[in-house]
Amino acid sequence: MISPLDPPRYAAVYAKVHTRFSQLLSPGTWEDLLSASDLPEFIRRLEGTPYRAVVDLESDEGVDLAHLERSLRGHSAQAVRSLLRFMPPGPRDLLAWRWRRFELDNLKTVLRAVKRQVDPERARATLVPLGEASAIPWEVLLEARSVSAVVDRLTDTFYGRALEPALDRYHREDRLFVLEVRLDLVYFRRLLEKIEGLGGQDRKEAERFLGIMIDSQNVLWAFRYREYYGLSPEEILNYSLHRGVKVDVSTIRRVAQGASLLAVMQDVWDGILSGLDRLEGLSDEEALVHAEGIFDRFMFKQARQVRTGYAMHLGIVLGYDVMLETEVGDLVTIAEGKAGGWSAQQIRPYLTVGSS
Amino acid sequence: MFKPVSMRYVNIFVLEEDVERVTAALGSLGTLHLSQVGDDEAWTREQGGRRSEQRSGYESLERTLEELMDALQIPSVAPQSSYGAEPGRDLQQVREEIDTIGEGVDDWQERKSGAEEKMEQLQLLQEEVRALAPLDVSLERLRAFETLHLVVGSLPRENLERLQVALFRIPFVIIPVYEGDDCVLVYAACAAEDAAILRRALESAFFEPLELPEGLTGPPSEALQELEDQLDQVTETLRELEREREQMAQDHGDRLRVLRGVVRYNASLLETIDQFGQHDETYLISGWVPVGELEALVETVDETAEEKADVEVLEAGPKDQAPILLQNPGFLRPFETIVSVFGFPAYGEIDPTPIVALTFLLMFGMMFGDVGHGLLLTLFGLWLSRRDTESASLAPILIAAGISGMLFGALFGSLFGQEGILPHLWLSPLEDVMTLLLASVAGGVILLNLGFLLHVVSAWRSRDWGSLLFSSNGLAGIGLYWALAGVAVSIARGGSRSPFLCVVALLLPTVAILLRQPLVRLIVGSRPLLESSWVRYLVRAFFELFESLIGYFTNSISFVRLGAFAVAHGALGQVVFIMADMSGGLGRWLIIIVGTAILIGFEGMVVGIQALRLEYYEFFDKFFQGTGRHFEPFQLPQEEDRAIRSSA
Repeated sequence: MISPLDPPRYAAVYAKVHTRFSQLLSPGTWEDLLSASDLPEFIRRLEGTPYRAVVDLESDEGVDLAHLERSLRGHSAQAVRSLLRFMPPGPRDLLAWRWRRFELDNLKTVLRAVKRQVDPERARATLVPLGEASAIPWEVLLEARSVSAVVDRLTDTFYGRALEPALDRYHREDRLFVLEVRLDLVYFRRLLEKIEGLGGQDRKEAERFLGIMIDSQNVLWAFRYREYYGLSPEEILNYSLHRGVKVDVSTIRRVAQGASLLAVMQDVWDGILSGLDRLEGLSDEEALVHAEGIFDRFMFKQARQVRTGYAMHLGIVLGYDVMLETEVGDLVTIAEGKAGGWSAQQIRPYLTVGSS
Repeated sequence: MFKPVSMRYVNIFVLEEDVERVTAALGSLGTLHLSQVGDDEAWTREQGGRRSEQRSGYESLERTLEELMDALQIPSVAPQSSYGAEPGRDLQQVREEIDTIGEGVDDWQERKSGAEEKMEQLQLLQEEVRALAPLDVSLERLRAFETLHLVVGSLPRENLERLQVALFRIPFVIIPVYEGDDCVLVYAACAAEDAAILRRALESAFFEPLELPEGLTGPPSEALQELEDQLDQVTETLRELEREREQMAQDHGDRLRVLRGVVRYNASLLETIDQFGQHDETYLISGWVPVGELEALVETVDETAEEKADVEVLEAGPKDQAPILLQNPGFLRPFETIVSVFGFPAYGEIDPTPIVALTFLLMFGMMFGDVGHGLLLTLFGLWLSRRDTESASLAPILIAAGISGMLFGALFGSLFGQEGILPHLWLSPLEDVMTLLLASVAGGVILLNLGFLLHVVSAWRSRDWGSLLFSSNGLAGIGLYWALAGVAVSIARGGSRSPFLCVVALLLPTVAILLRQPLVRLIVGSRPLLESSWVRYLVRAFFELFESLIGYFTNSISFVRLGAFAVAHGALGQVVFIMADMSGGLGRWLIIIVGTAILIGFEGMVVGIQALRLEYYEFFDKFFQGTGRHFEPFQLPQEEDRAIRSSA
């Protein structure tokens, strides 16, 4: 139901997001960053962009790549979070849930750190800074002495409830895989429910952006389970989502029974995704590497289109979210490339913004 | 008005022995917005040490207290009064009291958990045995199956259907026998040779196996009776434990609430002190205070620290990132929401609330001009103002917007979409469309130029000469805007008599905007004139100038919507009555009422959005950054009863 507060909220979001779009990096800036001779030079050039506030990383030992990635992702989290308060309740709820992916990633990092008994101070440095927006007591979790203690301290939170049924199995097998897969499944199922809870144009936009993201992740997971983990068809089905926007259980069953990645992608996204011909002749293991890039480029293209036409709906924020996330992802790729001494030509194929 | 409350930055130097009392006094005063002392300054923040230990102690005690109060189901109560400030002295006393109460509660909880666990086990067993009852086979024989692989256990409720979908390669049976809150107890069976497939499928569905009930023998009916007797005993034990809880809650409830208040107050006090700078025995409390509250703050500090503290007062300039406290008369305050949704003005920046109040109402009224519709909107606003909801904060804006709609309705001679009933004092939107559209653009030009002027004033106040003189929203921008307007009017009238003058009028501000950076550097004597190459600079400056030119045009034309919506509003109002006249009797009135309601609700919303859009996009864009942060003075939690020492 539309509340009297909705119009000013969307008007404010509309204005805010358009301002933010102007802060995304221009093609010229990308070229400038790509042509940096090494990582310190890249950082120096990044200081001349809207990321200046984020890139305060000079330390005695030089530039810390992990710190840079963490700060950039923190910037992305902060930028999207700050738009939430203007949104109408339904879309806000969805976006807040989508935002929780940062918490999800942090939680997986904490679980790995605690399992490997990493020093809390070191582990803290690898968490994406979420500030007060996150209600999870990260400091307390990092101090936990066991994975069970982490789950125990998350009681009464979504994460605690999601992890609790998998805990006994974790103890039996001593593998974090079971906890991580459980977290992902419950998170994405809830995300789908939130999308389905929307109506009208907001739902269409949510399906347009998040639907393809959920579907693609689901199919790629299923392939990874098959190719890398050697799981049985029943396990693949149990560890995947049985419904999405374009993908359903029959798609996953085909994957589980041995269908090729190209065949599945052609079946589900033929005429939508471009560049599928690049997967021809590749093994599924090789195709997986390229498939992710194909999805990323498609998402980015969609996000760019949202800037034109009528945009007083959720699509404008989701489009911005996708563009910012892609931008941050590409910046991290360049930074990693520069740290490894790669040239612009070597890095470019791995970029989404740079290659479009 | 126009300017947020002036702030002063204060540095308060306090001795170690007074810091807790001074902090408590400042917390009660509630006029200081704290600023954190950076680690790189001479004053470092306290790390470790006595207070950090105390703070951890209080945080731990708070968790214990919450657990105790949860266990005893003691409700929270509303805030009442304040506490003193002696965290060090209180800690030990609070801890001892909590430990004493906690011992009894722990013992009770242990017994309760044991009884509940026993109850759960018995219930699960009961469900298992009940599911086997129709078989009428003794439990010993059931354990000895060979050709059938049978397992029993629980899995998350949402995984049951997924498991059945996943098991597509083998024949199987899954029987749910008991549903808990989040999990479901099932029997799963398949042929013995498919056991491995079923096992992996169950594991991946997060299935937790249970052993077939041990310790029970004979047919299920006998086992069920035995379980029933045991359940009765446990139920009675739980009833007894509940009576014990009620007694403990009655005995300790008030005291636990007081203790929690003390703990929260002291933890918050210590947390606040953690943010202060420290150098040996002296603490530095820094923050912003409204000028009007400065004297009271200084007096409070002097009085509390018995003249041993020193307060240094600094002017807060625009670069100081002072927090913002808007100061507008009561009738304008509701419109602060419109501004703050976009952003708070930065310190030193103009607060556009009064202008927004006026221009928003004018724009809304023009697009929604109808005496009847305005009246209904006003009445709706009055009704909303009496409601205790979040939306009630919008009521004053709705009332004012309704009145504006009525005034414009009188100018347009429109009553519930009907023209001719009232004489129009200015024009009829449906007949004088061109006049209305031109008037809209003229209004827009005035508003845009007001935006330019506010930009100039802001730049003047912040001594940003480059922005003042050469920005596309500054003096050069104003020159270019009016030169363009003049040329456009001249062309429309058949060409200018002095083309040279036109070219000069256009060129001067254009060059000024294009060469902004080198000109500013030239004026202030900074070298080099450019940070990058000339070509790079000029290409960028050209595109920025081009964007500004497009902006001048689109921003001005954008205001046409004021007239367009006024026409649309009038036409839609008439449509309602045309449709009503096509139907007779009750239907006519129904169409009028529903149509008018839709018109007011839907059109009111659309018109509101358009007015906001013009404010945010066209007007704010010229001068308003909105990067300020809200003034949030620190306060300590004030709740429940008196301090521990007054009640001990």
